[in-house]
Amino acid sequence: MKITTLIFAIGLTVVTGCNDKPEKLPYLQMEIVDNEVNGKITKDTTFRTIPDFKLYNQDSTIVTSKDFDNSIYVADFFFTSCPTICPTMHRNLFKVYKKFENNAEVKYASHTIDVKYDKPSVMKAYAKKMGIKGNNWQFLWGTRDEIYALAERNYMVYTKEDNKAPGGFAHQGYLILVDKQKRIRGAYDGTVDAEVQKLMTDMDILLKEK
Amino acid sequence: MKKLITISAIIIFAIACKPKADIKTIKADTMKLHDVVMANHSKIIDNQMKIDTLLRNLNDLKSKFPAVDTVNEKAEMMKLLADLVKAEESMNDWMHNFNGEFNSKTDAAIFNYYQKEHDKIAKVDQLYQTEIKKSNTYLSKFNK
Repeated sequence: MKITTLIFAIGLTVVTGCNDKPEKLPYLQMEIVDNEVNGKITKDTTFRTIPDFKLYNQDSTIVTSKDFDNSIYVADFFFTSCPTICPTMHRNLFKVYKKFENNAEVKYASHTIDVKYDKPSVMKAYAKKMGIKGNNWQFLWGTRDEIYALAERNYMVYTKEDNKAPGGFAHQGYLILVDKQKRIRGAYDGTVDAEVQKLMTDMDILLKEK
Repeated sequence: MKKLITISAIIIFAIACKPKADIKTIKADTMKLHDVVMANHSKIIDNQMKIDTLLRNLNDLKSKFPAVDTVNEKAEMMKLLADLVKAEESMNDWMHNFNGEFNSKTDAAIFNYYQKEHDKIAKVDQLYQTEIKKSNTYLSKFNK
């Protein structure tokens, strides 16, 4: 009886051990490209990454992609005078911010699409009203061309390919999860509670990734 | 007598509650329309950027489409761009002046405020549709 129990316990441990394989998030912009090595064409998997950028934050300080090195971060597009989607999305993102408040490896990049009105001083007041402290959550300002290029060609490519998403990529309330190598690992509807919960779970998984 | 009081109370209650329901509806409709316009906002910006690029590269345009008169095209592009910017500005003005928490002493005043805002954003919606269609038609000439 004791031997049977022992075998069962070992079996259970092995099974549990096998299931303990760390979860891994998908790569949303993975591409298979042809690579030529010694005249032979081979297929190679590459991951599209967020390119270098140079923008201004709510303190009128220059923020570059280097400021997000060694961190995972959540990116979004918004404007301070938005009366509908953006306030809900940012109220939800604030919950995420509070959860990871003391984790220096978690950052946020909120890009304004209203570049004429949302100058750094306006965003400073907006951040203060939301209760954001420190500089883990950056409110980013750039020229129209810089912001729309980043949105259309990089962060929002995935959401544009999603047929279910309506037009106006910059006003869909999407939260984009980016890993430490600047690869997109998740896109979540920031206006839906369940999606924001999933974002938080996925951030935990991503933080454990080696 | 009791019946009369009850009926009167119901009527008073119905009258008192109606504007509140109307306010809720008109506010929701205004917000819905705002989201429709915002869905087109990216297209307005996108077409501005495409025309900007064409204007910066008129020599390339001439080499790809030798038949075009670049002087005329430039003038047309400048006009289209100005119209797109004007449409964008009308949306920006609406957003920056809109007060989603407008309050007043009377329900009628609140209702009137949202009704006016609804009419204003409906005009912006029309303008966006016109300018998008116009600029799309122009850009399609150059496969953009």
